[in-house]
Amino acid sequence: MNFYSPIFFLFLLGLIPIILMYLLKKQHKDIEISSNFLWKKTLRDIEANKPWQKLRKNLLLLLQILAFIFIVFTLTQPYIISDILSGGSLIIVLDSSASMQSTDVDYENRFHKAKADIRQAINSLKPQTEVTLISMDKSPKIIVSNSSDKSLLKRKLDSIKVSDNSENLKDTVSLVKAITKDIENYQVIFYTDKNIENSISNMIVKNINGKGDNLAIENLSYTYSDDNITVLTRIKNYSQNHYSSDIVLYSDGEIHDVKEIDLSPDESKNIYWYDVPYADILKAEIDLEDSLTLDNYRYAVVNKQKENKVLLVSKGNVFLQKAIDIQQNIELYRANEADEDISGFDLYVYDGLLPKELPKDGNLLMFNPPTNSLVKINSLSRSGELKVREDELFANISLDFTIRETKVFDTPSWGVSVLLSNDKPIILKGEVKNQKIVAVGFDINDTDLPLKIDFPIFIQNVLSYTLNLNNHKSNSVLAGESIKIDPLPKSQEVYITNPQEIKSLLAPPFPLAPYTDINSIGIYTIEEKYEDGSNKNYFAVNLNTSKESNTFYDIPEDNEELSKEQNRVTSGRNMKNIFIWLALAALAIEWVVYNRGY
Amino acid sequence: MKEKLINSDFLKKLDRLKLNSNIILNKGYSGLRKSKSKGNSVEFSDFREYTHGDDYRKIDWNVYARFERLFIKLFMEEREALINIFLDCSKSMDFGNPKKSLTAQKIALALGYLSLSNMDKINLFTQKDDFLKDTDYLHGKNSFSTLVNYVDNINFDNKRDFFSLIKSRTYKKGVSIIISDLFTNTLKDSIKYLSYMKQTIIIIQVLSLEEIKPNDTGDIRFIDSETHEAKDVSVTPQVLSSYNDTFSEFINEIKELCHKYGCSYTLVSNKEHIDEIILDNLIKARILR
Repeated sequence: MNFYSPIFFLFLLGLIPIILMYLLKKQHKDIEISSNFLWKKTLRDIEANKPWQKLRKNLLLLLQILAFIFIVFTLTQPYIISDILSGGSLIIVLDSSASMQSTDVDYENRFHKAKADIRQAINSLKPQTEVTLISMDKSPKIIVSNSSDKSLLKRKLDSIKVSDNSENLKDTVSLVKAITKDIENYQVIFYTDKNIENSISNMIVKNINGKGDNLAIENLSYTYSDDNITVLTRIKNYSQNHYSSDIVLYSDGEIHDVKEIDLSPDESKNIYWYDVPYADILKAEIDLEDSLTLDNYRYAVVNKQKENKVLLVSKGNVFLQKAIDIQQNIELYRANEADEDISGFDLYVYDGLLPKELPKDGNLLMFNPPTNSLVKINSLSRSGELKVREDELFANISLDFTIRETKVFDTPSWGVSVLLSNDKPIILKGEVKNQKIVAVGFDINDTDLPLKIDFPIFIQNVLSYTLNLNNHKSNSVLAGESIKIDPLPKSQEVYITNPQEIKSLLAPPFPLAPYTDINSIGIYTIEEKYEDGSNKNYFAVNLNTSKESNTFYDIPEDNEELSKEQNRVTSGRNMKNIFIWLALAALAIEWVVYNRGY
Repeated sequence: MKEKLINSDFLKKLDRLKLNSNIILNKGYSGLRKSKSKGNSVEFSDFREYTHGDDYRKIDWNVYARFERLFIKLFMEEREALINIFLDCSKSMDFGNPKKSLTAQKIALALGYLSLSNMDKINLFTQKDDFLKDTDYLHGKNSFSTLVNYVDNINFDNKRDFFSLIKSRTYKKGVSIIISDLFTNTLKDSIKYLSYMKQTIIIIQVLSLEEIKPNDTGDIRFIDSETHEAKDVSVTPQVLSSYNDTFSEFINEIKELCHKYGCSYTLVSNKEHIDEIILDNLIKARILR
């Protein structure tokens, strides 16, 4: 028997005053007699002959206690697991996250075992039971809603595929809560290998667990060192056994080196690989058959140290030139005339000058621009209160600077205002046809900003945005996450190829929405096609080992018992009414006993 | 005012009674028995008014001539019967309405009187703290006042088991009369000892009506007057019937014990009048005749 509100057991403390009151109430009439000789004998006989006689004296107390206990039980809303779901709704949640691929069960893997259990459960359902089938990985998906068609249910069940993602328990629970809100008679069953707390009433967790002996590569990262790279791998032993194995590092598909590892239970080790030559793709693999193979390999994409070509068009601005030049992988070119037919730069910086025809092949940064096809100057402002929007351009920058004179823009359709003076935009940021544009309304020399420590940071922020310098951080994601793809402005078509070698078109249309279809582990290839050729970029998708690799769980005792009865669908039958009747019965008997004066 | 323990009318009635000769003769002793050796061995002891049934040959005609009343001469034999009366004066006897002790005192006096009047020697044993106290052997009717005074001054407040004290001394061959409520576990030992001392044993159990048939019900804390030990009992009809069973068993045990050791036994209640006890109960129990 289980309880929906076991907190009410605290009321059992109320028994203490009942017993105390009973003891205090029971006042004996004192009678002095010559000798207890005969009474002692009598009592000894009574107690010896009828052990329950002793209890009989306190029959009223016992009945009171019984009635009280029954009332408390009623409050705790007890239910028993019953084989028959009495004509209500059944909500089955199937965990299809990566750890369900563990092979430590009798079936092909945990996921198949869960499916087999669900199939049996569906078979043994009463005909009128309505079943909702939900799969749970990165987000809950309702596969079938309120159907009593068993063949449909089984067909849809077969269609659920196990993913490489982590499960999203929070969203699933809130979805299930929303579904069950208006249903009176329902039962929720979770088929999962995770430890889930019972947060929904009428919920049963059927744990699909095995021994879960698993080793995982938790991390694969690299740093540049001179002409080559240094690679770090971290291996963790999630099992309760000692393991020794080989770990192999592949660089661009070829074996670079093999190392031996030796791990005691719950141990994790860092392994360094030095002097690894440059490669696009690194892969580490443990040569071992454990319960979950997904985390036996891990990928990393090496970000090439690309030189960005930047053109600074200025009559001479040392501050700007120095601030841009700090960045190591920038090749800075300077010009003091705004020529129209230049191309081939990743970023054009115009300081007070603009060509009549703006370049189309690179991003644009304009300081103190005249009115042009992109920005329209509204007025000039000499003083005003500065306000900044929360934006990456002003990350870590204080507004503690003054501007002598600035141009005030009209807000264009392509961008947003970042810095405002008297609520009018003076710095704009946006994208036109894949071309990132930042427009600054003032001349750097008209402010005291260059004298502040914030100035180089501000320029770096602007460069990071316009040159996608932070991009390399996002070439490794975890399965189930999304990735933002930033193609170059000149890209005409963007394709993506997933690890199963299926190629699909991402763009046009531009701009690109974040790519979310990341469900399998491996290397994804992004191909950008330009007028004059194409370029390939990669990103690696790895398993969220912190959530999925720990396939070993201590199953609580009662859950283990439950899991033994996997093949039957059960439901909680509320025992509340029975306990109400029992309490009434106890009170009635007490009344009779009191009146008869036993 | 203390109730007078005994009155002369009653004593007169007692004159006609004596301890059952069967008991005494069986053991070969008597205080005032017809005996072949009487002429030689007796010596004058006392006079007593003639009562119906006395041997008229013993009438002292000289006295009759002087007072015109019939007296008989009493002679004391050398072989006197020794009567030991054990009067339990524990606190438990001091109970009931009238008190058990009063009944016991009256019985003791009555038996003492008729023994004295039958020319037997009596010794009354009582308890004083941890010791057995006695009156020493009294004989002759004129010792009766000593006996009355003694009995009158007994305090029923002893808390020690009286029966264990019986074994503290030796007794000459004779009759032992035990007057007690018998709330003890050492009765058997005492009877054994007295038998060993060649005593003819008479047991008179005095109980109050509350003890024979209690009728209080409800939650009662019974407090033992001797030990002050409290016993909480929820007295229900079932418990009362169980008490009755225990009581019958208790009496039967005593009867069995008496039968085994050849004792005479009777149970008297505090509600019975002394006349009733002596003239009816004890005679029926074949203790007196």
